[in-house]
Amino acid sequence: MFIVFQKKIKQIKNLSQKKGFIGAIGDDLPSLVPIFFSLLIFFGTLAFVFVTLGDRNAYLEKYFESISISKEVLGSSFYSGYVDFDQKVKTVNTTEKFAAGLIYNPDLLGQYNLFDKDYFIQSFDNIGMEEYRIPVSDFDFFCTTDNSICNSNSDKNYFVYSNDPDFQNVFELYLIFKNEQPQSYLYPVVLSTNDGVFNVYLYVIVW
Amino acid sequence: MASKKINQKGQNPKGIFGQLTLFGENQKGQAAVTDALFFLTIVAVVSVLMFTNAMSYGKSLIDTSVEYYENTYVISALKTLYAVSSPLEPDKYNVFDSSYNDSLFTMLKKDYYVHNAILSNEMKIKVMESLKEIMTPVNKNKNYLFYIYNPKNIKGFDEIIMAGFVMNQEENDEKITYICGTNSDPQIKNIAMGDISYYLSRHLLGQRFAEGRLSLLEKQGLDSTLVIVNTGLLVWTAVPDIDKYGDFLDPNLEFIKTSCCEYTPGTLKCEISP
Repeated sequence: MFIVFQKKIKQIKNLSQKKGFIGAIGDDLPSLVPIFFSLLIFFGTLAFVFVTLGDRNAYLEKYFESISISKEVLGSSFYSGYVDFDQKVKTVNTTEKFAAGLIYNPDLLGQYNLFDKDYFIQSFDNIGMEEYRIPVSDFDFFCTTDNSICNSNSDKNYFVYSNDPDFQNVFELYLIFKNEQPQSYLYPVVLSTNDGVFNVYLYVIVW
Repeated sequence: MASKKINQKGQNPKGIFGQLTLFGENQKGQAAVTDALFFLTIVAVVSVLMFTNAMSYGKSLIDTSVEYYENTYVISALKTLYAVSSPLEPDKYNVFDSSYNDSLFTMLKKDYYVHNAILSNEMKIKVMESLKEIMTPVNKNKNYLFYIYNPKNIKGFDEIIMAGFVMNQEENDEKITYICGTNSDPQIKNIAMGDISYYLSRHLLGQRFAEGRLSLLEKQGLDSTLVIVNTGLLVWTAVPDIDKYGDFLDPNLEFIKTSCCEYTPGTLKCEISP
């Protein structure tokens, strides 16, 4: 037993004199550090990718639904009156919350240029709410005094519909958007009223 | 462990990549480290690729849907122009300022018939004013062209009935409107005919296009003939086309200046009769 032990020690001594050997742990430990970092980077990236793709897929689903809603409300770009508009928005079948209104002063959109690609990319990248807050309180929503649909908001110059029961007033949209990421669309449309056929703008907000 | 076995056989340590060792052959413990560093490099490259792909995921879809949205806007704008009202008075353009309104295109048809297959300048101005009103939300960022084009007139050849450009001026970014008529330069005909590659390649970034049809009546002796003409609305990203002196930055566009009239509210300045 002792001889075997002596042989073993001699063997180890011989090994340690050979080039490239610095001991069992000493030989492997330095290589473990980069391997550890490699695994950390790989699984970290993998987790990030899974989370990002999940978020993006959810966003895209909502985004395409919002386009679909806006297209459905837009129809042929012609409303024969408020009743026609009202019927159109009420038949939209969606689980998303939206508001659709007719406005006649798009100048007040100000810096929020809806044709600016960056606008979409900004909201796409989930930046802070303030960056894409829509100043809806500045809008003049279109309405005429002779229409019964507008009676509930007769003191306001707008006509807007929403499928969200919490939605009471267009001026509260900002409060709703505080915790949401809205998509908004603007189209020129024609509205026929007793006073004539007017060019107004359909504004659709989906959140 | 692989390197340990190699060392026990008395060989010089080399990694799995043979000669590609970072350290000299007489260094101790270098083979396993080299392998690990290569592994780290590969993982880093793979991770960067995954990260890049994840960040760009879905953006092309968004770009496509933005294009779709813009196209829908242009189509909707053209449809609106077809149906919108305009004041009957020649010098009024806002329907809220007038008690006597009629459909813009009904007035256009009457005008075309009365003036023997030519549109009056007043009518062209009314059309452009209505269009500018419709395009208000995108006025800052878009230039546009509206035209009415007869592919085969009564004499058997094509002609422009009207064309209106709304373009950006350098420095102040103000819009300048050019209204063109039947005596326009042939290059304007090319634009209306769809042969727009010349123009597109130089100017029309992010162009969107909508086309429609319009039936017009032309006098032919005591009878009338129905002609079907094309209407088109071309919208593109606003880039300055005109310098502060009113000249086109691209000399190839001089044909617009020489063939059309510059319109500012109240005045129509023409180098030649449109």
